[in-house]
Amino acid sequence: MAELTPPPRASLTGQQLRAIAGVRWRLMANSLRTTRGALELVSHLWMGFWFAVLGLGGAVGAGAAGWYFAAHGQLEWIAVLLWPLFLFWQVFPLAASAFTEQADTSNLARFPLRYPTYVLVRIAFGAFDVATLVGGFCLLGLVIGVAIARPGLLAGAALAALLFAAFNILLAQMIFAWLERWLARRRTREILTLVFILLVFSINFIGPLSRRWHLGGAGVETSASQLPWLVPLERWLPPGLPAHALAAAARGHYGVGAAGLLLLAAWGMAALALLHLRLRAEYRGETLTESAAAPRTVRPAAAAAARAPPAELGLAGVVIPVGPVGAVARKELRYLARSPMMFFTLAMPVVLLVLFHFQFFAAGRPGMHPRGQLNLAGIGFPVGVAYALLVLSNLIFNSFGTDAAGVQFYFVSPVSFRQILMGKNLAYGLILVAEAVAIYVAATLTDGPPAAWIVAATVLGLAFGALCDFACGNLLSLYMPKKIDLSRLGRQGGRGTSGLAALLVQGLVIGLAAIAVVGGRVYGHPWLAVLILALLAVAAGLGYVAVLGAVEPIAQGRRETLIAELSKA
Amino acid sequence: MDTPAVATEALTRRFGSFTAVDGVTLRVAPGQFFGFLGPNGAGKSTTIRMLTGLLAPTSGRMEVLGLDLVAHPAAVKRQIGVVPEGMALFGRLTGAEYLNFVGQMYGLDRPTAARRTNELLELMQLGDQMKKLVTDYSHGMQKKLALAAAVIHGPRVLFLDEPFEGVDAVAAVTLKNMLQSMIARGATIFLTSHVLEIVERLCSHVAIIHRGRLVAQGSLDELRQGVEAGVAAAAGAEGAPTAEKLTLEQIFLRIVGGGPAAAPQELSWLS
Repeated sequence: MAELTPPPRASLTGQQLRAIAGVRWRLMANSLRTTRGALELVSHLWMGFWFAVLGLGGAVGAGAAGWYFAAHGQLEWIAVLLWPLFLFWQVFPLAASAFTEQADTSNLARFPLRYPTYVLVRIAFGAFDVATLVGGFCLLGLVIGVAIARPGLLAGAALAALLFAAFNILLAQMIFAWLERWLARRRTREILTLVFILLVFSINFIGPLSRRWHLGGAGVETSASQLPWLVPLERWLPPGLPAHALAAAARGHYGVGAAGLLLLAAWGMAALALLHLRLRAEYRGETLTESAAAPRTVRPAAAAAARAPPAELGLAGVVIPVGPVGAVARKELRYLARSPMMFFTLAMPVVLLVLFHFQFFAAGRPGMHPRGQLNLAGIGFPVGVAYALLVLSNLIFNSFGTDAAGVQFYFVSPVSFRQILMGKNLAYGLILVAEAVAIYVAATLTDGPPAAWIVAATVLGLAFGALCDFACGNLLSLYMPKKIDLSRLGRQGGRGTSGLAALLVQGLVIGLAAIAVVGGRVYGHPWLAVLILALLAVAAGLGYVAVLGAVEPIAQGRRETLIAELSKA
Repeated sequence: MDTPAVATEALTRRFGSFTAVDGVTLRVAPGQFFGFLGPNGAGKSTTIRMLTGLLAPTSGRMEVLGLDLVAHPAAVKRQIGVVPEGMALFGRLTGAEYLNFVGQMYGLDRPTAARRTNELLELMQLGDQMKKLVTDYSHGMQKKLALAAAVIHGPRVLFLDEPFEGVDAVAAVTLKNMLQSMIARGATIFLTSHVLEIVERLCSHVAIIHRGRLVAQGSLDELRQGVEAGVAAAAGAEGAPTAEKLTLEQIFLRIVGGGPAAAPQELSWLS
């Protein structure tokens, strides 16, 4: 049994890392054996190209700004670049959690991987995302810009950028891991939903407060001057630290600069420590499930309640019809209600609406009252609704993804795929309606009620967009299925090709709606836009009905692919 | 003559150049407990998937209760229950929600679906797990739930692909009792299993598929007599009865080959 002697630790770790990288490569190479796999790679390369262009654009901008600040001895101002970059790095992965794909490392737990190796693999996999790509490019540009102006600062700038990048990667993964943990439990989801609803209503107070600052007559400068405590605090926070460390180094205060970078490293270590708590639990085989937290003993009353027919899903239960279509709709809503992703799907449009609101107020200048210059309510409501549609398109364009092997049931049941897809569309439609109502309330609370024609145009635009999405999404759900995991954040990404198609459809829908609205305003008849959108919605409805009529033979013809793709381990 | 519960004629399925099921013609009479056996990769699951609408045949005919499955898929599906290989469960529903959902998909009204759900969960000893998501059930519990879902609408024909795989002895008894009571009420059961003892105990009729072709079909006694006759003929003593009744396992091995000669060699690193 001499062969069972394990190799030295370092060599084993290296061997395991090589094996993991090798198997990832083989998986990718094997996926190219099918046309679908090749298309997938092309779509990933296409999206990657555009994100790289975005990153390069950011790199050029950051480089120019870095050069300017370094050349003019204003290195502290680099913080002005790092704060938005920090926010992008942290918010983008959450905002795009419905579209992004994170590698599942949980199946590595069965191998004799040491914990540090597991952490390394987990962090490395998590670092391959859009935020890191764009953020990395921007930081590289910044370092080059600073180094051109002050070659002596190259090493310091590179180290600061590296530490800042590492901090952002660790923080983003830590936030993701903890949110996933909290949102996996029904009770915490309910608490967070309640907090979120209170937050939406508290927006009511934000509008008057913002207005008070602006009515002071000094715009952003006044706002900043009323928050003087933020300025000294900023230099101790991760986006401020590299800037102040570099500025200190430029003035020859190397000790202060080094201390700043050490503090930045400490922030990174703190993020890693919090991430470690989650990763250690994962490494020990923790599963994030509803019932993991459920009590083992069932009290008689609870058991009796459980024996009753499943609850009617609140208001949704009233509008959902009886029969197979309703059964599918209820099942979809139950599935989504148990998903942390759903929380983000519902929350993010409203959160972004509030951020959007502040952006416009912050951009306001004395004498240019935002209400006078730009009807924020008019923009907030339709933009929020368009974003909600975009976020949900991930599910609409891969509507069997959540069913996994359960899709076999649809093939053995006597229900047609027309009815099944109608049920799924009904569920998504109800979510969109709920979302639109939440956005309307948030927009009204922040900026007052939108004009009637805007409400009508938005509702009809939503109908037009949703029907287009349902029609195209139903077809792509059958042609490009991909199993997704609703229980984990960042595991809801459909096929790249579906994603591209979804973006294309959204672009077309939003483009046509924008043309209608702009056209109506240019000709001085805003209600013309409403009429055009109504006609577009009717046309989309006809297209939707036509697609529904065609899905049964497509589903039956593609049943083997559907079952094989969705039943994959 | 009764319309067969399940009938196929020259049923064939090819995957590229590989023929998984090759001209299978079989008949299952109503009320039979029918075992469909074969070694791994013989074509059992492919056949059952075709018979339940999960896979299209390349050629041949299939009828269930006298209805052509290709021409009348919905009418057939309303009368059959299926536990497919992957069980086809929806992991993020609770057991009760799943059964209610399945009941409604088969056209049961909500009160009926709820009543049958409760009865089935109690029968399957899943009543105390009602709040648990299906994904958190053990494999055996999932099997029981899949079987409960397959019978909630009272099917006339039940197709079961490896229903006893991963099921403990206690649960297996429950399943067997339920299946036998269904047979007693006139239902037909078409079952595949690798556990030959269970098939021998439950099934009245058996078919054996090997490398895609049907190599034997009939009642257990008919198969036994056929094999014994073949053995006797090979030994040159025609008609001489064997000392003991052959078990299904022995019959199976005689028909498809295998046995001690096919045992693997020792693995070098485990010696």
